[in-house]
Amino acid sequence: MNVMRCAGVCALVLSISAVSIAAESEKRSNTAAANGPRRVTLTQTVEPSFHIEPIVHRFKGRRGTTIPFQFEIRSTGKAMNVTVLPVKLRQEHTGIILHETSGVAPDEIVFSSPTKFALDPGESQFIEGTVTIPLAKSNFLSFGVLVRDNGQASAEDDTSDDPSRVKAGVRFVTQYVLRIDIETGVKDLSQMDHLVFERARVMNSKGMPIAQTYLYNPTDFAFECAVRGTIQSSSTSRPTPFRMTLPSRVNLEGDERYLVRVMPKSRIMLSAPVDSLLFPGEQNLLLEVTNGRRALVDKSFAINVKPGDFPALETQLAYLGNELSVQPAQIQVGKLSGTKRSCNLRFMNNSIEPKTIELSVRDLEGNALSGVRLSSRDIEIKPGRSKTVRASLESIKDAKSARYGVVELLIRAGQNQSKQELPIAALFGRPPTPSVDIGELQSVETNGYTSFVMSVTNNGSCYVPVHAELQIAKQSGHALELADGFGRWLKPGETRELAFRPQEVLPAGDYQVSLNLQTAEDQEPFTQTLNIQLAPEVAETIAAEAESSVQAG
Amino acid sequence: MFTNQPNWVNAIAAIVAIGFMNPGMVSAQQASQSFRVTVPASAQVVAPPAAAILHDLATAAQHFPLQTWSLQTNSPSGLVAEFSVNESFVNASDHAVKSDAELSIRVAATKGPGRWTTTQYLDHTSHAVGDNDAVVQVTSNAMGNADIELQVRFLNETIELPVGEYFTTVYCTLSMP
Repeated sequence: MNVMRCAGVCALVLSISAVSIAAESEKRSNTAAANGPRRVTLTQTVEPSFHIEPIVHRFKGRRGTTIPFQFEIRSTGKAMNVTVLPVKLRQEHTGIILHETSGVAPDEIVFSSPTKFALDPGESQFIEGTVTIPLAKSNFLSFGVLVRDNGQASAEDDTSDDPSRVKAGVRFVTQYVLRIDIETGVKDLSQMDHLVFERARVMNSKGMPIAQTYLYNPTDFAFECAVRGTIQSSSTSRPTPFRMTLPSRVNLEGDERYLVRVMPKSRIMLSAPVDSLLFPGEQNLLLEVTNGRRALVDKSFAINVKPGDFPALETQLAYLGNELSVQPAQIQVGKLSGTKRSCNLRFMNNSIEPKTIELSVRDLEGNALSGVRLSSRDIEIKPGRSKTVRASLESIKDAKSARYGVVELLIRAGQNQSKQELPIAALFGRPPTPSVDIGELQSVETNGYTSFVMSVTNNGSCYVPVHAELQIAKQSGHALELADGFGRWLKPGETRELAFRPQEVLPAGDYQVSLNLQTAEDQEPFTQTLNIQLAPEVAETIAAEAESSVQAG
Repeated sequence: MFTNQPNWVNAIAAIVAIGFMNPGMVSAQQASQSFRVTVPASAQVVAPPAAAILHDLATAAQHFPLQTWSLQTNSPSGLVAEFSVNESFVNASDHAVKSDAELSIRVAATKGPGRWTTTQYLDHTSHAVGDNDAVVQVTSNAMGNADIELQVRFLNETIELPVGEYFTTVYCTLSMP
């Protein structure tokens, strides 16, 4: 993005903002004429403020040493009245570090530059000083410096001086929390043993499993460490560990992303997508605080995974029962542009016993499906091992239409036997246009929680992938985003109910609900926007109010 | 590495090294030199000026005009902006007379790869029960710009409130995650 363009757009936005304020003023003035004195006045447009760098210094130093630091502050367009002070830091559960408005400021920081000064527009000033590293048994320390532009006492407004009226004013003050982070290199991390995993779960996030935990630091020391998670079960032969991250670092790359920083007396939330296959059943989520390869604190939490808990995961891999899975869960082979003539089915046996699988291909009426060949029809997989079977398109001269069916799997483990099916689409030609019936969106009340459901029916003759997203916006502009379907194929003649379940109670009030339902890639999505009023105590069918717009693809 | 020098010092040191290189030695030994420039993470804010309204005595809650704050950061981990008041509106001539303040924010426009999220979009003081703080917060997860609209409301249980001037201060605190 170029800077000139950015500046132009910013200016445009600000101009629009000023116009909208003027319009509001006029509206209120008109009302005032009818009902007495009322007026809104905003006499200035937006002024530029200040720039400072760096925001965070990071040093390495031994305990007892003194380190100099320097920050540069520059006023970009107005006169400033700056105050600089050391502050105590606090940490939110997201990992974000802010300053504590109460509490004793650290005395390790000494400023050598003025702590109160004025800056003219365009002028710069260095904030300089030293920090002395205390004799703390911690591998990490962080000190806060607050830089505050004290702002203006009042706007140059023309509101009345009439003392018989009520007048309200707001002053805006801008401040930066600068940090001086220090790696102490301390090897004795016995204090880290006091870290506590308070609770943990594996939750559904957009259909995928996410491990989440809260870690509490009851000590007076800050720490940097890593946190590792593992799903364990008695029937799993290959548990795969995964690394947990703070929400505030989830966008970073490399090892930086997995650095866990926990401040004194703070509680942080950590989460991670579960990388290993997550099978239904009773199992444990093992969490470990690590420093290098060493595990310092660990705790295990029982979790119970039920079939259907993570529908997006199940569109990628199919559970075949008792720690056996296959990927992909939906098979497509074809000779059209954008499709592949073959598809590898990777069977994974995570259990502690061997499994045998017989494979066959049938059409939707149960007859043998011609045109698709399997590289093996009978395989045996040892515990902890995987095997691949290739499904490929045969060369058939006259085949010019899409064919649909299932790969039947007969699975044997010891004396037990079960049957499973995977849908398969063989695209010798273009698939027919999907025909889908979309039911009415309804709200459902369960124990005070409002959720939304709708049915989708496939009236056509081909498989249809279905994915739907629902945005629920409150009048304040805050929006919840929910999803279901996740691209799972709907069989010809099949009806499925899509459910959108917010994890929070929706209070009574007005909402805007926006639905976007996508089927095949070349089909226009179905969109619908409803303005609704929710009364949580009553289960109701949503009746669209005036501004209902429906566009069917 | 013990890095107690500002990054611009390192950058200048690299430039000085170029000036004193001997060209003859370079051609004889196929020497190479790498250059590294560290761009420090920074943040910038454009704040609106102070604002004032006259109470219209029609409803207990009074809106200030929307205030647009422009935020900008080049930090790969993004930016946190917290808007807060630590006291209700206070009558200038009688500090015991107070009226609650409400803050709400909305992300009006964004540019760049950063995703801006309102982690707390609405809060108000309740001075009658000793709650004098209200905090709303927006975070981004990567570099970029955003215009944040801040709505300040003057709340009172009734429109029967003592005349005079009421003030509060909204702090915008910027920090790195």
